[in-house]
Amino acid sequence: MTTTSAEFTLPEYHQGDRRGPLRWILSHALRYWYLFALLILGAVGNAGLASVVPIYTGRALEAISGAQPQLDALLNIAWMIAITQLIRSVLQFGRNFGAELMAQNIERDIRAELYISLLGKSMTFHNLQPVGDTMARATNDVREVNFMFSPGINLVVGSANFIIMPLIFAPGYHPALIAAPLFFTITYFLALGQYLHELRPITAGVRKAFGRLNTRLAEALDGIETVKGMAQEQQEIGLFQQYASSFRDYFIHQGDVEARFVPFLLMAISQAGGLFHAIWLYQRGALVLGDVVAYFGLLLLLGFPTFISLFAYSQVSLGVAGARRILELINRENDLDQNAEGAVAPLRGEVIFREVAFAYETGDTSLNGINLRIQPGQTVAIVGQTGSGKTTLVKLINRTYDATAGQILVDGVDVRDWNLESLRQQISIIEQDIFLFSRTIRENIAFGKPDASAAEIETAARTAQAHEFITSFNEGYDTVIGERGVTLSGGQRQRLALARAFLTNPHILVLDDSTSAIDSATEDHIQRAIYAAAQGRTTFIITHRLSQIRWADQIVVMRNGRIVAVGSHAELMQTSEAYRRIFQETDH
Amino acid sequence: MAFFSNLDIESYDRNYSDRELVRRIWELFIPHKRRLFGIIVLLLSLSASSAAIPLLVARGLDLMSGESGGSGIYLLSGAVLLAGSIPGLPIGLAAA
Repeated sequence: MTTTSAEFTLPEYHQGDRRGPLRWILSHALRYWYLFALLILGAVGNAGLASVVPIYTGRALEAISGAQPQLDALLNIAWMIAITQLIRSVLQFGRNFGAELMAQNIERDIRAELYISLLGKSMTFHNLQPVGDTMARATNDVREVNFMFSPGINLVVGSANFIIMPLIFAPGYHPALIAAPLFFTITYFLALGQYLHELRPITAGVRKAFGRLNTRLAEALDGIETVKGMAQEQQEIGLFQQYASSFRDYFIHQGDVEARFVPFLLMAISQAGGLFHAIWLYQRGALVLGDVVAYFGLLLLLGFPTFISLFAYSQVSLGVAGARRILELINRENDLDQNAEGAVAPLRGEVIFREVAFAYETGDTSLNGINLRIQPGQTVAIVGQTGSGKTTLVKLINRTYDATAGQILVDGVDVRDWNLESLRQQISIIEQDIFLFSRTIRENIAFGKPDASAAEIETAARTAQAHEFITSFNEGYDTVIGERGVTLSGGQRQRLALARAFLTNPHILVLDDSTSAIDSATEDHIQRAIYAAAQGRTTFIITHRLSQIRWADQIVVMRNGRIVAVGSHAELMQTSEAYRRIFQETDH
Repeated sequence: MAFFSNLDIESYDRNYSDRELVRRIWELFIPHKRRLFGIIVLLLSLSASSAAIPLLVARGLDLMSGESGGSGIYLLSGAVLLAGSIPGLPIGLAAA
């Protein structure tokens, strides 16, 4: 795994030791050492006081089985058992509380660490990483780490003390009586080592299968229109069932391994052997009857670690597998870095492409030999057929992607030498596929400037010709969009996106075919709005609309990832065959 | 109702009774009825074997107190071994 700095980092946030899953979990757990100490204290106290019951039961038997039953002693023993068990319940509560609180805190911390890491990843990363798998890691794998602590480690630590207690107290009755608990302890841990060894690849498989299942689900839902449009429901169901069966099979395999875990047999051998041994010593006068009862009671304590070992260790194993998957995502190589020490300055808006080339990780070259110079405040229209590299070109300016060769200079400084946050705050891109959050219209417009006043938001909306339709809703700017809210048309969405861009007052504005869905009735208004917005800032417009192209200072014609012509509309109509062909196709 | 009451918060989310919900869940178990029955039997045997251990120990104490210790005590150890081993069987089968 390669460790690189994320694109954006929050320095005040705790970051775990990312050299390995166990180190990572431990580094998070150590933040809550006091809760772990509470867990240990509760576990040791709980097991120690649990041992009081068989020990005092043995004494009680001795007190009543003599020729003169000692009722006072019996009463004292009853009190002793009652008080110790009361204290034990408090310690048990402390153990459970400490474990649960630690588990919840760790879940919150690692979820935040993962979320921050995901926000900081480059677009290349997000393009390659399936959303469903990311969601599985961010939800279920994180949850598995929680379960690893509570009940997992809580029960492992708690039960381990129940193994120790017979080892401590049994020799008190007779030194030889350590044999049975010692036999159990040695064989239990040997079996456990083998069990965990077998379990590890299976639990990793369970988590991986769940990730695949989620990926399939997310992709099918994301592409539901395509699935339905091409009548592929049955095929999708078949695929999904295949992944669901794979997930089930891993779980059954896990159950199979758990079922073959042998501690029940070991416990039975230890208890039967221990009982036989104690009776043998009793018959030779080395023990009294109460000692036999107390000793066997101590051996019964082994039942707790035996029973919980069936699921507590697999829970720990699932947690480690989950942590490994989360960490793998966090540590995955990131192409971009924040460059916190980079240039921070207000942009003038000069953009120069110098022998720029770009290829996606799939290896397909998208751009090649790009040379272009745009003066501050100019409006540049970029035209070309689908797949000619128009969108990729503009995404190199704000480092959504990094050029694989050549340089892009903004105000004479290579974009890689700019402080990324400063660069992006001054460049606004309105994408083809506009994303609006399921929040109010006001919050959506103010997304890039959360502290904007109501007046600023309204001005931006008016400039984007959005104010009128916003106020037609009953809730106006407080109308919630999307899920459980209103549904907007393509044109309305685009005008909100324009308002969002206008509010941040960027020095470089990129409109990526962003007026394609605007109906003709509002087109004139929006054209004027864009024209007004373009004044005083460098503007890139990716469009085929002649009304927008005409007033551009430069028109760049792209074909197969190269610039084939640059000029004004009139010049290009005269000189560029590619340009003329675009408009002939548009006219049809 | 209290246990399921929170599920009724969203009006669009749930428009059926708990009885209907239980019936629908039970339908998922119907294909596995025989296996479910087997698991219940095995789990009951687990409870019985766990409950047998204190009874066996009590019997053992009687034997030890009386004169007729001898082979009965060895039988007792064997019975404890058997009773202690049984829980592994149903848990294993239930997990599978």
